[in-house]
Amino acid sequence: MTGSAIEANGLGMTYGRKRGWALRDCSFRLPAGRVCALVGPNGAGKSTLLSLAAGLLRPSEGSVRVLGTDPGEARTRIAYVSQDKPLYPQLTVTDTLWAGRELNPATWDREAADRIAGPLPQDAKVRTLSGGQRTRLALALALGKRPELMLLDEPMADLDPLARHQLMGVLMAEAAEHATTIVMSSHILTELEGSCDYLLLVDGGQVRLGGESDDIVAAHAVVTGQVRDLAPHTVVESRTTGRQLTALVRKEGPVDPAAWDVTEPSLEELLLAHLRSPQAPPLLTPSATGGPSRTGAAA
Amino acid sequence: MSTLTPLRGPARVAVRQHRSSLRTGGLLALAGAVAVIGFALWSSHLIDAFEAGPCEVSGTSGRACDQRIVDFQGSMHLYSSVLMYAGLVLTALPVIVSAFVAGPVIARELESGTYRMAWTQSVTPARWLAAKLAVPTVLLVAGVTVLSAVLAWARTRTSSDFTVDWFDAQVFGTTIPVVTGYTLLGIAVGSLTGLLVHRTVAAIAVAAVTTGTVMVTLGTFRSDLWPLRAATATFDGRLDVPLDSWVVEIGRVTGGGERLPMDVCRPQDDEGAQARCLADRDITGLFVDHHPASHLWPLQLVETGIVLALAALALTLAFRVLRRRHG
Repeated sequence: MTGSAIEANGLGMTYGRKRGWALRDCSFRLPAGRVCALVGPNGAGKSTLLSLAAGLLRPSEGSVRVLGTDPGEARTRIAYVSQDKPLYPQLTVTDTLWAGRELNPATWDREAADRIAGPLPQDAKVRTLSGGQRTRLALALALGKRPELMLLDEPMADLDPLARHQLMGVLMAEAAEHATTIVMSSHILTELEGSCDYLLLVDGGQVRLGGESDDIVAAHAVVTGQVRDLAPHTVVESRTTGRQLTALVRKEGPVDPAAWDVTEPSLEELLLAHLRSPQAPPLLTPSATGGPSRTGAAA
Repeated sequence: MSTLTPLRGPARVAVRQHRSSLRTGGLLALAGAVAVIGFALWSSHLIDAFEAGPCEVSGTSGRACDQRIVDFQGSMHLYSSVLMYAGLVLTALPVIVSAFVAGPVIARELESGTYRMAWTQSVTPARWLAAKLAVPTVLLVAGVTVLSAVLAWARTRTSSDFTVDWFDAQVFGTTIPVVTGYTLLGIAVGSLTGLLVHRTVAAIAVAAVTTGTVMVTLGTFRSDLWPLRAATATFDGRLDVPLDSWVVEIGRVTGGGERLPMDVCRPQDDEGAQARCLADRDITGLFVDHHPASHLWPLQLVETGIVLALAALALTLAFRVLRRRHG
């Protein structure tokens, strides 16, 4: 088993008694070297989770370990780009990259940063940049740091399709070349599908799905047939039209192919079904659980 | 020097980040110093010219002198006003410093979220804060030292009718080490306020009010910070109070040594009535509680000590707040 990039144990975060829990009782593991999609609706706790992993927040309860240590200890090995891409508005692009070198003297890779920041107007102040340009600069800072773990909060939201495609390509190349672990959050799954081999679905402050995308998809099936009991399978969501039943189930053993018409769900179908059915139990594949498999079993 | 190395990167970034404020502050300080020096040289020149001339301020002389005396006194008055305003600005500097550190330096980063960019580089929040405070500390301590010295020198270039006393607020408050202590207090209070109040404008206001309140409060109790010297004398005796003393309280004493306020038996039209009043109460003389000029340094050191203790407290709290909230 490879090392863990992130390991959360009973992790909880509240921003004050009145505002409830942004994240509660989260336990999961992200193995190192994966490109992970962190998905979930707005307000699900994705940003909170990333901030905790980046060491910007202290958990209200439980713990999170990053690269085998405390997030604060791992500071030099993590890069984090937050949703609003905060950069010093009065610095120029050149100044900002210079600051990256000054603040990361041990690891700074100028070439990696310049590759991303190249198309930007070098003497422009950050405050004059467009949202997409700021994203590019923030990603340049993150890549220039040569991290082992990149935490990217909605990194692609401001980018046009062409820039998105290009930057995604750079990130994937980085991941492939240096075995960098990347966690990217989004509420639009299609943005990440195809690039990510790992999935974390956060909803209502809880991790509901975690594991290799393929395994998670393979653990589920869309079944169609006559209305009847689906036991022993766990029904995530079902719909009846007349006598016809269509259900997305989590397989417990093989599905009888004589009784049901079985197809594999798309990742998007699977996520939407889980978001619509908050009562569906969480599923973490063995690689996503800290100890021995606790919840369900992957196929 | 090696302990400072980890601060170099973040400190250089902090300098670049606040480049325009630092440049403006530096230029203002330089302009102020140059102006005060210029006025001082001008004043010296006038005094020399006047003293070389035939006229004397207190002398009785012909009409030819009257205009010259009026002109000279007017110029000296202007010069002393310049010194007074310069002294006021330097006295108020810690309040401005406090507001600057609280608002633009700390709270704005927290408000706009740029701290998240800084802290996710290879810089811990504690080092980030230390670097952000080290930059203004070094520059301000140097600047305040120079300005205070310039001002002290300029005060010696005035005519004898316009000298200021060492205990005047604008003099005492701009003397090293007190002025340095308050500057450091301003930085410390500013950092704590900035971390507690995350909004720039509110942090500026809170920090300025807090620092100002501490300064006014300590200024009010300034004369109590070192034991007063008491001089007493009977009405016909001589009071042993040097002219350059800071007279804090004057009152009457009875034969039994009891102290009464000065307005007991105020001079009345009828001298006999006052004499009777004094006799009735057995008032035999006056007391003068004062700080002789030699108390300048003990008073300065005690006040600086208190101010530095408060600054250390605020700074410790600031780092503790940072650690508790953000690890």
